[in-house]
Amino acid sequence: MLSGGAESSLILWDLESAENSLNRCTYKPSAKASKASSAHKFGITHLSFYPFDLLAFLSTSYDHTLKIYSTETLAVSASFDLNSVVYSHALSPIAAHLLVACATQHPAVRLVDLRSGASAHQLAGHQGAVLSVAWSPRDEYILASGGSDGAVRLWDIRRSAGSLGVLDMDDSVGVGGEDGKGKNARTRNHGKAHIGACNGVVWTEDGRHLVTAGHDERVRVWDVGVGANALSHFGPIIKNTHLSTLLPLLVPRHVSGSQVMLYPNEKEILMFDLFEGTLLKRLRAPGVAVAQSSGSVGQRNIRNRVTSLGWRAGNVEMYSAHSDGLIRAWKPRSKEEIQLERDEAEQVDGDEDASRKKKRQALDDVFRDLTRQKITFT
Amino acid sequence: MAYLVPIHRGTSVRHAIKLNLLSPDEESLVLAKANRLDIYSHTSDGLLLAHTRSLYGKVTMLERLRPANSSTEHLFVGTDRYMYFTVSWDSQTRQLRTEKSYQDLAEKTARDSQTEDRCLIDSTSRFMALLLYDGIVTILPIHQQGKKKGIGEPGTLGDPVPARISDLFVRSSTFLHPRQENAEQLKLAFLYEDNQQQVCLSIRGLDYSAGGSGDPGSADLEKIIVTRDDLELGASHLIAVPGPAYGLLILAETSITYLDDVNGADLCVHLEEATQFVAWAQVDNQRWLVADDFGKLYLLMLLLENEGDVTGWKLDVIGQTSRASVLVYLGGGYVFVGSHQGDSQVFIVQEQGIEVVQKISNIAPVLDFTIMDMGNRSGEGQTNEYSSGQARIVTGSGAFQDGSLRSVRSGVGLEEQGLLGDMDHATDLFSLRSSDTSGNVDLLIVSFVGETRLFQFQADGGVEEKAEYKSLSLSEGTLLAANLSNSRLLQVTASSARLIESEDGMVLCEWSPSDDDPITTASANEQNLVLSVKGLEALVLDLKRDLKVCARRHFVEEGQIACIHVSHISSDICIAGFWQSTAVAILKIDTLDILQRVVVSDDAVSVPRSILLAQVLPEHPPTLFIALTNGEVITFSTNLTSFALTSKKVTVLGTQQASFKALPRSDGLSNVFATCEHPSLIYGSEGRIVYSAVTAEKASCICSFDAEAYPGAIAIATPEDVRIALVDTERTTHVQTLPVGETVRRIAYSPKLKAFGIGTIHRSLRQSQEVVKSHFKLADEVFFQELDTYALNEEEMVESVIRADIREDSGELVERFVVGTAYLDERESDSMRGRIIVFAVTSERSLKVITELSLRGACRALGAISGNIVAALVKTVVIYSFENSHLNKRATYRTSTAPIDISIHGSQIAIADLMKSVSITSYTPGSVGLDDTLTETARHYQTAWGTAVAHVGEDTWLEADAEGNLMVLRQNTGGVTSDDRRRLEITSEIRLGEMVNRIRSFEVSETDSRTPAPVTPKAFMGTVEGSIYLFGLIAPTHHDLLMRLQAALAPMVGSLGHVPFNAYRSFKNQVREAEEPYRFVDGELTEGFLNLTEELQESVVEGLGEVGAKAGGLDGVRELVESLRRLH
Repeated sequence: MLSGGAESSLILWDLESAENSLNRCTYKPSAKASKASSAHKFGITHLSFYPFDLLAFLSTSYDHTLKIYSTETLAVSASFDLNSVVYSHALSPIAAHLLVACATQHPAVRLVDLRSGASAHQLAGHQGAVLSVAWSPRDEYILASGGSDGAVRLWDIRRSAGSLGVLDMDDSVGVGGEDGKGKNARTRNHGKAHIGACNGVVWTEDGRHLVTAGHDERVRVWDVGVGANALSHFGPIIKNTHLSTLLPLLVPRHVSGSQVMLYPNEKEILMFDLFEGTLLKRLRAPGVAVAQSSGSVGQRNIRNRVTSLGWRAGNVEMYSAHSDGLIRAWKPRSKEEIQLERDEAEQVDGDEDASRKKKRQALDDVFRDLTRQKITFT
Repeated sequence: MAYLVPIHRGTSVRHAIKLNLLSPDEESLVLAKANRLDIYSHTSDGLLLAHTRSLYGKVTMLERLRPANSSTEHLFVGTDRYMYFTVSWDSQTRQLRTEKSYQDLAEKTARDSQTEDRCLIDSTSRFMALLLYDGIVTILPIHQQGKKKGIGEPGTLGDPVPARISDLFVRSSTFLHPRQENAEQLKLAFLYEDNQQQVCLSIRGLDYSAGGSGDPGSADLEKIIVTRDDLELGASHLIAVPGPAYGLLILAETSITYLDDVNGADLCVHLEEATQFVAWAQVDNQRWLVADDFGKLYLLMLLLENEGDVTGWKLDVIGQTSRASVLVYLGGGYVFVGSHQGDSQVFIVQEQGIEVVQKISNIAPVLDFTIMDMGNRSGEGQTNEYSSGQARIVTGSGAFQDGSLRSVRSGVGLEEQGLLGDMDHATDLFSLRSSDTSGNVDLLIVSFVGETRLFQFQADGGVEEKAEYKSLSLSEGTLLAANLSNSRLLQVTASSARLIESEDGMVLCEWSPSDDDPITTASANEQNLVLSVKGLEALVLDLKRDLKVCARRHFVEEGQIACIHVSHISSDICIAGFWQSTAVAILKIDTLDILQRVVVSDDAVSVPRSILLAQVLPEHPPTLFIALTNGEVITFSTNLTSFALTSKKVTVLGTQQASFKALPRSDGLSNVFATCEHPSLIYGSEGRIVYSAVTAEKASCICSFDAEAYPGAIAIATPEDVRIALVDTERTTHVQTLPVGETVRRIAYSPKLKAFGIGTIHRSLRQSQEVVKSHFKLADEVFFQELDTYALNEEEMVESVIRADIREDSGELVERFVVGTAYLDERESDSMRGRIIVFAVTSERSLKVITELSLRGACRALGAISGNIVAALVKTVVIYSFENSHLNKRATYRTSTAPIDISIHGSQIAIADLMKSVSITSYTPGSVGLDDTLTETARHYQTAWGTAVAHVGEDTWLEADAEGNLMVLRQNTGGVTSDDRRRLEITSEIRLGEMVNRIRSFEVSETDSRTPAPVTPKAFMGTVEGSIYLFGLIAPTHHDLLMRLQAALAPMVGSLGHVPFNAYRSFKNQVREAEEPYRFVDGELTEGFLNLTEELQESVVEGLGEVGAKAGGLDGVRELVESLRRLH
C-alpha cells in the first residue's frame, strides 16, 4: 500500500508483514521517501499504482508535477511539469493506450502520454478548475471529469470535439434519442451535476453508473448509458467542504450483494447502499472525536478529517487515511468473533483477578485515607 | 512438480438431452457427466453406451439444433469456461466432430449469473437465448431457410447479440409457444427475484433486427407484456404450454399456477402436500412428468375443454426414483431420470406404477472417503497398494435417500460368458481334451466331496452332462485329472490313481495305496505323479512305466505333508510343504531326498497350504509361490540348477489361505490365479510380479478352460454354481454399492476393529415439514452391517468423524472414535451450539460414550496430534487433551476467517481457511509449567477459498479451492530471511474444474525397484462430481521430460470445440488467471500419448528433441507412459 503525505513524503507499506494481522497490530513502513529526499516539493494530492504491474506508481502534487516512481527503489523515473496545480490523475486499467488524465487548475483536462512523453493533448470544456477525473472501466476511450464549475463531463478521447456531453442533475430521463439508443440524440452541453464544485467522480465496476460528490453536500448516481440521474438520495448527513478531491469508495460487487458505497464524511466513514440510499453503517475511529480547540463560530476546524479511502483487493479490508497522520485498517467483525473476544477477555480477567483485586483494594484504601476526614480524638 | 490422473471419472448427470445424433431415425440420449459426454442409444435392451468423449471444460448446457443440410441433428454444448460449440456425429470416422465453436461470450465487466447458466431454444427454432450473466440475455439467431444468400446455412447459429433486462436474479425462464405460426414477436418469460426478495414474473417481447453486412444485429427485450409480482416465494419453475392451451405454468412449493399470457387470466390451485420441484419433462401437449426433491415422480395433466381452455390440472404421484436433476422422456413410456445425488435410472411407466428397467451407477457427490488398505496388515516390501487392488477406497456418496457407501477398487474384471448350473460346493475343477487332436479342451470335470460330474462341451457352446465317460471313476471326488501324452488320461481319486487310454476308455493301469489309506494330495507332470497317502507318506509313481512306484518316503522330522507339487518346468524335482515344521522343501524326484529346505513361517502357526512353481516372468528364473494359512503369499525366485531360493517377497492377499492354479498364456509364460476371499491374478509385467485383485466374488476354485466355444476362458466354481468367464486383460476400476438410505457425511475406518464409523444424516418429510436427524453408526467392514448406532440430538448434525489414538489418563494410547457436531438452529442465545463426543468401541462391538464437551459453535473438523484432539471450531483451532475423563483446552489458535479443513503431520497442523488459503501452525507442548502453544509458522498470502488440504511431502502441502483449482504449497524452510520462511509459495498449480471435498494422503513404502519410479503417488482426492483422482509427485529426474511431453501433446490431441488445453487447465480464480498449468502434469493427457497414431507419436518424440533422445526415443517414452498408466 502506498501513502502520500501533505508534507510530500511517500511511504510504502507491506500489508503482509504484520506478525499477527488478526488482532490489533501496527504496521511498520517497509520503505519511506521522506520530506527531504522525496522528489515532490509540496503536498501530494493523488497516488495510483501502475495498473499493469506493480513496479511503478504515479503521483501528482501541488508542485504542478506528475511523477512516475519505481516501486522498489522509490526513485523518480519520469516527471511531467503541467504548470498548474494538479488535483488528481487517473490511468485507465484496461487501455492499451498509456494516457494519464490529469485534473489541474487549468480548465482543460490534460492527457499525458507515457509512451511518448508528450503532454499536448487537452480536453477543453470545463469552466474552472478540474477537480477529479476517472476512466471508464469498460471502454478504454471514455473519461469522466468533474470540475469546480459543478459540471461533470464525459469525454471520448478519440473524437476531435472530445466532450460527449454533460450530466444534468435535473434530468432523470436522459438523452435517449429516437430509439432509446442515442439515434439522432442531441448532445447536452449545458447543465450542472452539482451546485458548487464537483470534487469526486467514481465509476461503478460494470461501467454502467457514475457516482459524483460535490460541494452542495450531495452524492449523485448517474446512469451512464443515457446520462440520466438515477435519483439516489443519501440524506442530509453528507458533508463536503474541502476543495481537494474526495472520492467515495465503491466496494467490489462480489463482496456484497447490492452495491455498497463508503463515503469519507469528515471524521467518520459512512456506508450506504448505492442505489437505495439507505445508510447501512457509520464507522468511527476511536479517539478521533476529541474536543477540538476552539475556533471561531461557523468554522469547522476538522483536525481528524478522513482524507482518503482504499480497498484491499481480494480481501474484505478497508484502509482510511486521516489528517492526523494515521492510516487505519478496518475489518469486518462477525458475531462469533465478538463472542470469542468476550470469552478470551473473561478468561484473562479470571486469571488476573486475584492480584488485580488486591492492587485495587490497596489503591482504594490509600485514596480513602487521603480524602476522608480523619477523626481524631483529643 | 506434480502429477494428476483420474482413477474414477465423474459420474454425476446434471444435463441430458434426447436427439437424433448418431443417426437420423434413431434417437440417442446424450448425458453430460462433469467434463464428459456419454452418448447412449436407446434399444429394446435398454440404454447402451455408444460413445464417450471428454471435453476440456465442464458441461453446463446442452441443446439440439436441426440444420437443414444435415441428416442428423447437432448438439450444442456450453461449458463453464465460456466456450460454446456445436458438434455432430461423423459416421465414417465414428467420432464427434466440431461444427462451429464460439469463444468467450464473456464481457469482462459482466457479472456471472448467480443462478446456473441456461440455454433456451424457442419451439419454432428461430432463436437461442443464453442466460449467462446477470441482467444480460444473449440472443443467437438460428438461420432460417431464406432467400438471402451467404448468411449461413439454415439451422446453424448466427452471431451472438446481447440484450439487457432489468431482472437480475432469474430463477427460471422459457420461451412461450407462439400462438400463430410466424408470429412476429417471440415472447420470453422470466421468473425472477427483485431487490425486495419478492418473486415476480415478467413476459417480454423479443425484438431482433439483423444487422447489415458486417454489423452485428441488435436484440431488445425491453418491451414488457405482462408483469406479476404476487407470486409465491417458493416459485421455482416455468413451463411453456404448447397448443391448444398455450400460456404458462408456474410450479411453486405449495401451488401450481396456470397463466394465460394473452388475457392475463390465471388459475392457481394449491397442492395437497408442499414439496420442492426440481425437474420436469414434457410427455405430450397436456402432460408432463415432474420430479421433486424427495425423489417422487409426478404426472401433471392439464384438464382442457372447448379446445384450449384450461379448467384445472391433476397431479398424481406415480413412483419413487432417485432425486432427479434432469428428466428426459424417451418415448414409449420410458423415462430417464438423470441424477447427481444417486444412481441414474431408466423407468417404464405402466398402469400400476413405474418400474426400474436399468440403472447407471453414480458415486457423486463424494462427501468423504477413506482408504481401506488390506495389504497393510503385515509384511514387508509392499508395492503401491491401490494399483494392486488390495487397497480400496470406500466413499460416502449420494445424498439423503440416495445415500450409499461405495467401494472403489482397481482390479481385473471377469466377464461372465455362461452359467453352467447350480452346483453346491464344488471342491475342484479340471479341464480335459477328449481327443488328442483338438487343441481345445471340451470336458469339464467338477469334483465334489462324494462324487464327480463331467460335462462335455460342443463347439457351438452346448453342454451335455455325461453319466459316464471312458472309465473315469465318477462315484468319488477327484483329486487330479489331466491329459497325458500318447492319448492317455490320468485320474487320481482318494482311493486310487488310474491311467486310462483315451481312445477306447480302457484302464491301462491302476494303483491304490495299501491298507485302504486315502490319498490326500496329488500332483503330476508328464513323467511322474507325486502323491501323499494319508499325509504321512509321499510316493512318486512313474507315469511312463505304468504307475510303478519309484520312490516313497516318510518325512518324520518334517511332519505331515500339507501340499505337494511337481511342475512342468522341471522334471527332476518336486516340492512339498509340511505341517509341523511349517517348512517347504525341494525334493529330488527319484529319491525324494531333500535338496533345499526353507521355513516359511516364523511362529509356526501358518502352514504352507498350496504351492506352485511357475514361469511368470520371461528371462527370469521360475517363481515358487507358497500360500500360507494366514493369507500370506510368499514368492521365491528358484534357481533350477542349484535349487537355491532367493528374493523372498511376502504379500498379503487376504485372511485365509489361497490356492493356486496356473493359467497358461500364449507366450509360454503363465499367470497364476490365487483363489481366496479376495481372488487375485498374479502375472508378470515389465520384469515385476504384479498382483491384481479380480472382481470375482466368492470364487472357491477355478481352472483354465480354453474351449472352442469359449476361447481363452476359465471355469469358476462358487459355493452355489459353476460358470465360465473371461478374464479381462486390463485393470479397470470397479465400484460396489451398499445403499444406506441416509447421507453418509463422514467416514472413518479402524483397521484394528475392522469397522467403519460413519456419520449419517437422515431426511424425511413429515406433514410438509422437513425433518432431519443425524446418527453416528458403527458398521462392519466386510458386509457393512450396522453394528451399533448413536442418535444425535434434534437439530444436531454430524460435522466430523475421525478415528484417533488418544492418550488417556493411564498414559497409553487407546483407539477412540471422535465425533464433532453442530446445531442447526440460529438462536442467538448463549446455548451450546456444538459438541465433541468421544466414543469407545466395546468388545461386543458397540459404542460407549466416554466423554462429551459442549462448544459454543460448530466443530468443523477434527484431528489427532500426539495423543491429543485437534478441533477446528468456528473461528479457532483448539487442542484438547483428555484428562480425568474430560477434555481440557491446551492451546488455541485464532484463524483468519473460518477453518474448513485441517491436516496434521508430526507436530505441524495445516489449516485451510474459508477465504484465506492455508496457514501452517506448529504445536509445542509446554514445558516447565508453561502452557502449550499453537503458533503460526507459515502462511499462504493469497486469497483462496479453501476446501481441503493435505500433507504430501516434506514441507509440501496440497490445497484445493472452491473454484476447482489445485495448488501445491511449499514452505521455504531454508529461506534466508524470516519473512521468506514465513511464506508458503506455490510450486505447482492447475485447474481441476471440479470442487474437491476431501484429500487423503497415504504413505507408500519404498519398493525394492532398481530404478526409482517416475511418479510417486501421494494422495487421493474425491470431488463433488463423483470423480476420484490420484495425485503424485514427479521425481526430479523426470521433471523436464514430462513437462515437455505435456507441452508437446497439448496441441496434438484435438479437443471438441477446439478448446485449447492450456485454457482448460490453467489456474483461474476470481483474482487472477494464469496462462497454462504451472509445473503440473495432467495424466489423462499424457496417457493419451499411447492412443495416437504411430506418426504422431514419432513427431511428438522428435519435438522433444534432446530430452526425448535421452529418454530412449519413442520406445523409451512409450515405456514411461505405460509405467505411468500402471499407477492406477
